[in-house]
Amino acid sequence: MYLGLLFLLLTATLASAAYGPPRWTVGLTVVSFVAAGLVYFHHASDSLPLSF
Amino acid sequence: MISRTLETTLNALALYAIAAVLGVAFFDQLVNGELPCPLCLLQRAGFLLLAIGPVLAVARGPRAAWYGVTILAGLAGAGFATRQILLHIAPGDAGYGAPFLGLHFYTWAFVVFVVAIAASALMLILRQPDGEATDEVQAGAASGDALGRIGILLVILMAAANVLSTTLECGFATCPDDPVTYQLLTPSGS
Repeated sequence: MYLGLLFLLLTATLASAAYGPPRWTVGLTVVSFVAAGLVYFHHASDSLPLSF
Repeated sequence: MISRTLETTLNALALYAIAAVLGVAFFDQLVNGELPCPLCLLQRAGFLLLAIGPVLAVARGPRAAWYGVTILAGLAGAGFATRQILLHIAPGDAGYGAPFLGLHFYTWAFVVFVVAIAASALMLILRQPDGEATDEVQAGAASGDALGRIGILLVILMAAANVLSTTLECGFATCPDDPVTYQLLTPSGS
């Protein structure tokens, strides 16, 4: 569900970057980066099966 | 030094390249039936983060700061792809999904993110400093041309398509690590 919400956020960010006010765009861009980072760390919590 | 008009056009072309990458991912999903895993979806999100800088450059005129956004997005996307490469690096691991032109999609994603970082660095070297270009006004006008407008719409369309696709695939729960069906299209109990 959160990945769908991330894409929704990115859609809003891109639309704002193209057509929206600069202040909204800056805010949405920062939130998009943070949200993507949080999703990444959620999935990076498993240990890697490294052979070295 | 490149002109502002050429710079805007190159940013518009970058939007087409990003839309094409996401289009290939959708083709594989819809035609070959390979549903994207959560990390695969995160890399798609990385490509949409990568599109923010070019969208800003095309819609509002090129600025050095937009390349900073693109470089940050490239670093994030490369990090997402690296994670998946390392998950499948152990000997005997066949990797996730079928290879495309000899490499898995996540390896290609890493290559594209690194190329985007290098391209942004090159643009920062070749561009005229903000406020010093002779065709600053024309570049502003060029941002409204058909090439740029269609590029922006294509990327926004791809983002919206991913909202729909991901919602159908994952439903309203956590996305499975190895998805085989669309949760919202599968009758409950089956």
